[in-house]
Amino acid sequence: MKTKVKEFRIHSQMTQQQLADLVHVSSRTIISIEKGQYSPSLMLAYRIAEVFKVTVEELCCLKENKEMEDGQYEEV
Amino acid sequence: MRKFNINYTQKIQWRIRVLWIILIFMLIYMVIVGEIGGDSRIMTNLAHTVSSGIFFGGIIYIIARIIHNKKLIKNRLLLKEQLQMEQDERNQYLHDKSGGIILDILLVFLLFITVTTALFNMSAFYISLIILVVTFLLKVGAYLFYSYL
Repeated sequence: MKTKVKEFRIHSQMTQQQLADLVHVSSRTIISIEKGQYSPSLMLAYRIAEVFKVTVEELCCLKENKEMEDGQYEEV
Repeated sequence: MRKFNINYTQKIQWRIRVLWIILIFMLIYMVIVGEIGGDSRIMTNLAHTVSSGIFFGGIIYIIARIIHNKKLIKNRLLLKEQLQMEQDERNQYLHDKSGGIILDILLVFLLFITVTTALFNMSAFYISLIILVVTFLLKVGAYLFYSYL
């Protein structure tokens, strides 16, 4: 799932480790989220959104991801 | 937060107790095997190596875990790091995807069966060893697959 975690993190001048410590996960998890390899749970997404003072919808690009998924169904 | 930390400390203390119980059972098993043990004449070199490696490696691993867990209780920072690592949702996800606790228990049983069959029946030992190796490779393979997916 595409997210804006990296974008917000760099804007906040934060390292991956610092963000990981704030939301109680490992830096490897943050790396995977930023690469789109791992989708955060609702609680983790909420924690990260709180750190950056944004909404979960904005952080996780929910609208874009929904449109992408809908597109896949339409192709089938 | 303080209450949560105390609960985790109690969890670690229980782990230490369980590890001690497992260690005692392993020592009892060693004594029983020593008394009624298998026939060393039918035991191949591979069976001897594998069973010794699993058994004594297991004892060393358990002692190392006991020492590690005792260090966690004494050091709050290490305890917090361990808690974070265990509760990390990606780690939990990968663990679940690679078989979870069921496969972990199955692996422990397979280790026990492999060690025991090595003492009595070589055909059973080789079958058990193959199943053990395949199961282990499946777990590692699944973990790596989902880790880099």
